[in-house]
Amino acid sequence: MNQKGFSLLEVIISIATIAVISGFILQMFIVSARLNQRARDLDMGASLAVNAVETVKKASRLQDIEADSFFEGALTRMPRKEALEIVGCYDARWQRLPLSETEYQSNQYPAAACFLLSLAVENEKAIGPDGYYEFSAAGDFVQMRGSGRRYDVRSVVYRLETGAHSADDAEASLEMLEFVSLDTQKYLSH
Amino acid sequence: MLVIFMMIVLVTLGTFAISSAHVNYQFSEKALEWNKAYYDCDAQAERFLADYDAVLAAAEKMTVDYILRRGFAQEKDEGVPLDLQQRIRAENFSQRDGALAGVNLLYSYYIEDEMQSLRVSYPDVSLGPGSADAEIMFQANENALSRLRVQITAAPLRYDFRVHLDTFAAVSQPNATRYQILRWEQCQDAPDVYPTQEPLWGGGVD
Repeated sequence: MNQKGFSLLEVIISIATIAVISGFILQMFIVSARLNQRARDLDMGASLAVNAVETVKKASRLQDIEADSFFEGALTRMPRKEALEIVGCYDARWQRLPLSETEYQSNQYPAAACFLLSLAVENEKAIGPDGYYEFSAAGDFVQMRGSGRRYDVRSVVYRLETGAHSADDAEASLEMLEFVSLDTQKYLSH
Repeated sequence: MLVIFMMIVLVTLGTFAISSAHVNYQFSEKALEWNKAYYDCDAQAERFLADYDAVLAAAEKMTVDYILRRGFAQEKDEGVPLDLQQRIRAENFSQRDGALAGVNLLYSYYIEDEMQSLRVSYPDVSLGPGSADAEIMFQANENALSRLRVQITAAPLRYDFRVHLDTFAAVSQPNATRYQILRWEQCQDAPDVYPTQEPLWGGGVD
């Protein structure tokens, strides 16, 4: 009968070796999970920014943009005349969260907020009337109907990161890291 | 022995997991780059579209102005070819189909004249017969592989000429546009990664 076994030292060394290798393997899986999470966030952010821009592209007037169902529940602001800003707040699962003007102005976002979509549509310059004019040979009667303007469109998705804050700091501690930004232009009629 | 084998399997699986996650992330970044390049080209194309529309608007206004002020009053216009002037004067504007043929010829004449300014701003634009069709490619930057191909054409003049409030007037057709976009697509030339390698498939289908 074979009485050979393992000594205590051999068992300890083998357990230590397995522990080290297991730690290394676990770290590999954690890193891959984080990379997948970042890739998913990048895809979702890009998809959101593209959808926001395409909503502007299909609109023919400025009013049509904020009325689109894609921006239902989002915060709509008009920082200047003929400028529109739409802000959407999302949690870690990319579900939309309600956001008020006060929260946006003070950077005090909801606790579950992880991402922010900002769509800015701003008048670049007036390029002249659209050209719906009628005039007759009877005189210099010219009736201008309808006009349009060129707008700069900027769609940005931010990732909200928590930062350190002190009791004396009245502003929010969230830092915003821009990771998706798309710029284009759009001609909109009035 | 079994434990060693399990360790090897787990390490291999972990390596595959990291490798696929890394490729997944790289692909997401590449897709975002493509989107950015597309919208950079889109912004350039929108500016071109505005300039093209401005050319059409100028030609449209000159055409309507000519028909109402000069053509109708039978005044001579040195800028327009004589045969075209005569054709316009001979048009019977009460018959819509007959009127549009001559009027659209005049519109095409003014478009071709105005398109010269577009060629100055966009030297790469290729214009079709009569300069009404325009095709151009946009690229986000010199190193970008993707490009945006835009092809647009001018629509027929969108005005009807008739007696309106006891005067001869031009009335715009509702919901008509000056141009039609035929193509607005992102494309890419295949990168020449292996210039010395023969293609695996020649593209033929038996």
